[in-house]
Amino acid sequence: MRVLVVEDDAAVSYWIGAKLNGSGHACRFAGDGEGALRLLAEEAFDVVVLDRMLPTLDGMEVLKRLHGTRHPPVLVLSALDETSDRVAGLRAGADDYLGKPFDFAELLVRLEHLARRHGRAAAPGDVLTVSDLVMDVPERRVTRRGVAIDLTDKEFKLLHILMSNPGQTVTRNMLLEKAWGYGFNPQTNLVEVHVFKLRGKIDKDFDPPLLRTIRAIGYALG
Amino acid sequence: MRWDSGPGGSRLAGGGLAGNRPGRRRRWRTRVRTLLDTRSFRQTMTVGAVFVVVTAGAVLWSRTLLVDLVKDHVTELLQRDVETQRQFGGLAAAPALADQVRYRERLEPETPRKRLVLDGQGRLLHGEAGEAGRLLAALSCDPARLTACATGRIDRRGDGGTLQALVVPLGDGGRFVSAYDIQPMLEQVKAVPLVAGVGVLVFLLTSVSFGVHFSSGTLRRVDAIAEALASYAGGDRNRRIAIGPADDEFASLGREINRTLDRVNRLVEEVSSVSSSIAHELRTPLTHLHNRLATIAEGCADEPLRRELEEGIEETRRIQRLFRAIMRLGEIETARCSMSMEPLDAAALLEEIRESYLPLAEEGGIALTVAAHPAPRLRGDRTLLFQAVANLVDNALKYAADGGAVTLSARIRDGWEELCVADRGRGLSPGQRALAVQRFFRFDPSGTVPGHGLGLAIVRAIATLHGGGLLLEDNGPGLLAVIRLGRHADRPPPLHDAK
Repeated sequence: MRVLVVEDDAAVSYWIGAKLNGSGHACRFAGDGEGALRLLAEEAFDVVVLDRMLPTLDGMEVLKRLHGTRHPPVLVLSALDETSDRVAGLRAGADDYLGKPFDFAELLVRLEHLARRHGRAAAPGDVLTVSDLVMDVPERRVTRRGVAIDLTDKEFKLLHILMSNPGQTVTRNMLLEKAWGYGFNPQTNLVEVHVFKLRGKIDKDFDPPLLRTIRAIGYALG
Repeated sequence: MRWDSGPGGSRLAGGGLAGNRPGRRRRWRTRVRTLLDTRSFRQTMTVGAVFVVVTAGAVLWSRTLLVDLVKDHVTELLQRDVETQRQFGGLAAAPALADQVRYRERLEPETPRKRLVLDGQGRLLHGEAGEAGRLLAALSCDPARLTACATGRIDRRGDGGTLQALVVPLGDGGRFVSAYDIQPMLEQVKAVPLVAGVGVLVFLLTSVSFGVHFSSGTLRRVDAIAEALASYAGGDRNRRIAIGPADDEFASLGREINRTLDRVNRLVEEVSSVSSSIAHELRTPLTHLHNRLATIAEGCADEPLRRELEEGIEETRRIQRLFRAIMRLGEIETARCSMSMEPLDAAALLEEIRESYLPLAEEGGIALTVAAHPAPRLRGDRTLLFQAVANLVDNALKYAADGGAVTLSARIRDGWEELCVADRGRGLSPGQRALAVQRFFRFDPSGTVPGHGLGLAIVRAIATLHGGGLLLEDNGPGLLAVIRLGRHADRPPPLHDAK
């Protein structure tokens, strides 16, 4: 991936750059909004990491200027992490929003999702298949090796998210945001509990196991 | 800590067409009663009553004085008349006197004075016969027995009026009667206290109406202040007292109250934003700390040390979660969060929460159910209420005994929309219930039950934002947590039957 990191805090920006390079991704940096717009006009990127509080033009203003133009997907990375901030960021055109402080793994997974979605032409279809697991979305039916699997609404939603990104890591926070919506912070590890139940249904009686736990980050299917 | 029943709780009168007129009459009656209780009205009435008593006394007394004055005056007139007669021609012979009197009366203008001259045999020598008869009868004097008739000054009140007379014996045994009917004079005098009385009555009525006017004006302004303060106490932080155009004591009182409310608001905002800004300011150093630990842990070959470092990273995540909760609480308490009040399918909301927490409930062997009665259609912000009910369910599952039951329900109670979470666990004592909603309060100080102690504070803030509050009640046994939303207006009937 070619990543543009727009961040005025040098320590954070250096750290992200080092980690991205370590994961085999190329990075360019901008310390303010105007610099970011200049680089976006000159070079091609797969994804942009955008801080909100920036000198010259702040992140929201950058999003506003990008609106309506062809631009790579933008992940807003900000200490402004209240629900209203997230809603404002996403409404302004951000493709994802991550609050500070953050796990690099979480950031990397989200950037990879954005970059892949950007490169992919069509949205996942009505029938999703991962190995011998098949999901018919309109019919709300899941089978493995032809055997019907009965899922609750939440389990179905979680499996749908995982099957839409086969082989890709999906973080716990991403699952929570997508299955329960922004603004819900459970006091308990609800995602783990539901994924545990889901695993019992899709993997227990079948081989090989499809649902993998990615330690301390999230899950991947297939 | 006390829970307000919300703004306007018991003030709202029953609406509807049928209840309108009695309602208005009752309001009017209450208004009159409150008016009678005001200080200025009472003062006006007291002064008015004293004034009436004093004036009535003065009027009665002056009437007595006036009557006495009239009588004295008439007596003097009669005496002067007789004296004049004595000097003019003497009082010896009745026939001569009768001639003189006739002569004098021709010269005198018409007066209410009546004169009679009777000779020794009781014959009327002067005076009109009919009138003389009436006059003598009033004086209890029989002309046939003239000697038996009283002489001197005589006062008589009879049908014809009030008579004052002076009877003088003549030298030849006759009588000279000079009489005066004072009734017309008394009638005139009587009008004086009457006029004064009417004057006092008019004055009294005027002072009453002024009293009512000023009192109701005062009452209206005091009412407006009381109503504004009640609404402020009920949660309307933007409510202020309207200052009228007149720059009087109420205007300055209102200005002072408004200044105080502004200050209270500033303090409340400072208190709740200070925690938010502390959390916010600490995020950048926390990010750096987290990143450094992660980098060190990654390059660490020593397994035990790496595990320690990962514990440290987990600790930063816990702090992050706590910050998020503090900021969320501040966001809700100061109403900075995005909120959309919409019609809400309570049955669907509760069912989704049940499904979300069912795996956790099953782990603890707890039956998590949605009450079977039809769920009403409520109004509220779905995301916030989902969070609020979820927090209550989370707590109920943590503290409910194994094998217990947790029931979710939605209802209208006393006109309030409510979402309820009931458990059959140990419950809370009244003292604990008051403590439970405070920030960072935890019933399990050992820290073995996970949580940050902000769950109920967030629920309370969400309920307050909806215009209600969080009520913790006894479920006998267990705890009944009630999220009270706003008042239930007349809305469409229940949408669904809950499962």
